[in-house]
Amino acid sequence: MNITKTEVLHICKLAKLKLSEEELCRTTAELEEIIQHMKCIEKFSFEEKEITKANVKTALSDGKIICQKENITQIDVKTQVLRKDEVKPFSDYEKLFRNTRDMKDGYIRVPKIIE
Amino acid sequence: MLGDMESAYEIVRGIKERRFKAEEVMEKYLKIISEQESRINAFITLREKGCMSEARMIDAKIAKGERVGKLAGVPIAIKDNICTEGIKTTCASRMLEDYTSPYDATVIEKLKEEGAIIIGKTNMDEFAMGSSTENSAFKQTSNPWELRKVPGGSSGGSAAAVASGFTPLALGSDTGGSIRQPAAFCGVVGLKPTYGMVSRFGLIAFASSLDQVGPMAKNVKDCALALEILQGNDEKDSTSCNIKLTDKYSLESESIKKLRVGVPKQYFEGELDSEVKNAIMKSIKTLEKAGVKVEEVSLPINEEILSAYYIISSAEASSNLARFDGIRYGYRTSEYKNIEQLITNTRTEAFGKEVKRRILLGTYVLSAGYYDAFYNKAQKMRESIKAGYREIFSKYDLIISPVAPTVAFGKGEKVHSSVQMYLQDLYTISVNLAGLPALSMNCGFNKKNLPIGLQIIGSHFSEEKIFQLAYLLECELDLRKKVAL
Repeated sequence: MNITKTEVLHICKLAKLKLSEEELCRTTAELEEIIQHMKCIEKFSFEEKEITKANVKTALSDGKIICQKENITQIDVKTQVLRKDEVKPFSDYEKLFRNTRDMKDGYIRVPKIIE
Repeated sequence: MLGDMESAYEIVRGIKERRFKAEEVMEKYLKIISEQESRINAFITLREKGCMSEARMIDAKIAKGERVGKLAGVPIAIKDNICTEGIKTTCASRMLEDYTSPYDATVIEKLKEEGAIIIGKTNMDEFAMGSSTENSAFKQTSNPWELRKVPGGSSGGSAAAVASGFTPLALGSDTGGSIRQPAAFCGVVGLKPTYGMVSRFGLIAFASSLDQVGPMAKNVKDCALALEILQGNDEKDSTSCNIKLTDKYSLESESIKKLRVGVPKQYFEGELDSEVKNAIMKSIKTLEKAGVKVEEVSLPINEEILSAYYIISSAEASSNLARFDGIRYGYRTSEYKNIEQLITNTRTEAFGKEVKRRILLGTYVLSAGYYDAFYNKAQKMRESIKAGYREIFSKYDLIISPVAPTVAFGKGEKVHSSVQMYLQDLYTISVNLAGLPALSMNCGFNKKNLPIGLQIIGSHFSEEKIFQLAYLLECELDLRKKVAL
C-alpha cells in the first residue's frame, strides 16, 4: 500500500491544511515511511474474542449520575461520574472574548459564508 | 547554594517555622534563573513581579498567624499547555502565541489554593508532540547536564527547569512518556499518574484518552507532596475518578519488603543502550539487597505497540486540533477571501511541521477505507496491552523497566527521522494505552555524566506503592548530591 500525492492532497483538504509542491513531496515520503511501520499492526493476530461494547448502567445518586462501564474502560473500577447536564453561564464576558481577533457589536466577525 | 530551600517540602517547613521568608526563597530562585536561563531556555514566559508580591502575601499571612497552604511559598513552573488565568498559554505554537486563558486549569486552582507560586510557563514540543522539545515554535531548550543535548520532551522545559534549580517543582503532561522521558534525560523525578487521578480540565488536549497531568520534582518526597494536591475528582472532567484517595502518601513502609517486583525481560533486549541497562540492573540488585523480591517476567514490547500508540494518539490529535480555526481565538491569517481560506490559511501558517504531520496521519487513519485496518486494529491492540498488564499485576505489585532506550541525545540528531524519534517512546507508551501510573527517576550516570532514568510502573491507583519503592531506591542510591549546574 503506497500512499500517493493525490491521497495526501485529499487528506490535506479534510484536515484543512495546505502544502507547497515541495512540502507535498516530502510529506508524502514521510507519511509513507510512518505508514509502512504502522502496517506491522495488520499482521498482528488477536485472539478473536469479541470486545464487549461498554455496558453502561446509570443510576441517580446524590443528584449525580453515576456511570458504570465494563470491559473497555480505562479503569476497571466503578468510578466514572457524569455531571448533570446543566447550563452554567460564564459571566465574565470581557475575559471570554479577550482572545478574539475581530468583533463587532458583541459578535465575532467572519467572512461571508453564504453568497 | 539553595541549601534548605532546595526541596518543596523543606521550603514549606522553613517558611512555616519562620526560619526564612517566602520572599527570600523567591529571590533565590529568581536569581538563579536570571543567571542561567539564557543558557538553558527552559521558559516561554517568566513571571517575575507577580511572584514577588505573592511571596510577600504569604509572609504577611504567616506574620498574622493565618493558615497557609501545603505548598506555601513554593515556586512552581507550569508546562505551557496548562491554562493559567492572566498568563499566556501558548502550547509552544504560533497558533496560541498571544493566547491568554480566561480561566485557570483545575490543577492550577488547586496549587494556588495551597499557596504555590507560579514562576513561569515552560517550553515544550508544540502541542506536546515530540520527544526532544525541538518542536517548539519559539526556542530550543538545553539539557542542563550537557548543553548540546536535548532535555527530552515534550515536557522538556519543565524537566530542565527543575534540574537547573530554577524551581523545586514543575507540572508536565504525559501522553506517551512526555513527563517520564524528560525527567530521565534531566535526572529528576517525574510521575505520570493513573488516568483519571488528576483533572484534565484546562490542559489543552493532545490525545484525550491518553493525556494526564503530573508533577516533576527534585526528589520522590516532593513528587508525592505535589500529587496529594493535584489529585482528586473534578466535575469539569468526567474522566476524573470519584474514589477515595489518601491525602498523605507514606513513603516508608515495612510492607515494602513484601512487594513483588517484575522485570520484563523483553525490555532489556534489542535497542537498549548498555550503560542504561547496566545502571538499571545495578539498581535492581540494590533493591534486592534491601530485601525487595524481584523476578524476571515476560511482557512483550514491539513495534506493533508503537504503531497502536501513534494511530490512536494521532487520530485523537487530528480531532482535538480541529478547533483551531482562527475564528474565536488564536492566530488568524491576514490572507483570506472566504471562510474556507480563513481556516485553511490560518492552520497552514500557524501549525509547525510535526503538528501537521500528526494531524495528517490522524486524518488518514480515520478516513474511509483505512479505519478498520488501522484504528480498529489499534484499539484491539490496546485491549491486548491492558490484558498483558492485568496478568502481570495479578502476580506482581510493580514493574521496573527503562524509561528510554538511551540517555539524552544531541540536538538535531533525530529531527530528520520521525520514526527514529518515535522509537524514543517505546518503553513509555504502553503505560498510557493501559491508563497506568508510572514514575521515572534517576538511577545513575553514564561515563559522560549524563543521567540515566529508571521507570516504576504500577497497577491503577497504586501510586503509594510506586512512591515507596522509588523512595527506597532513592535513599539507597543517594545520587542527589550531584547537581546539573
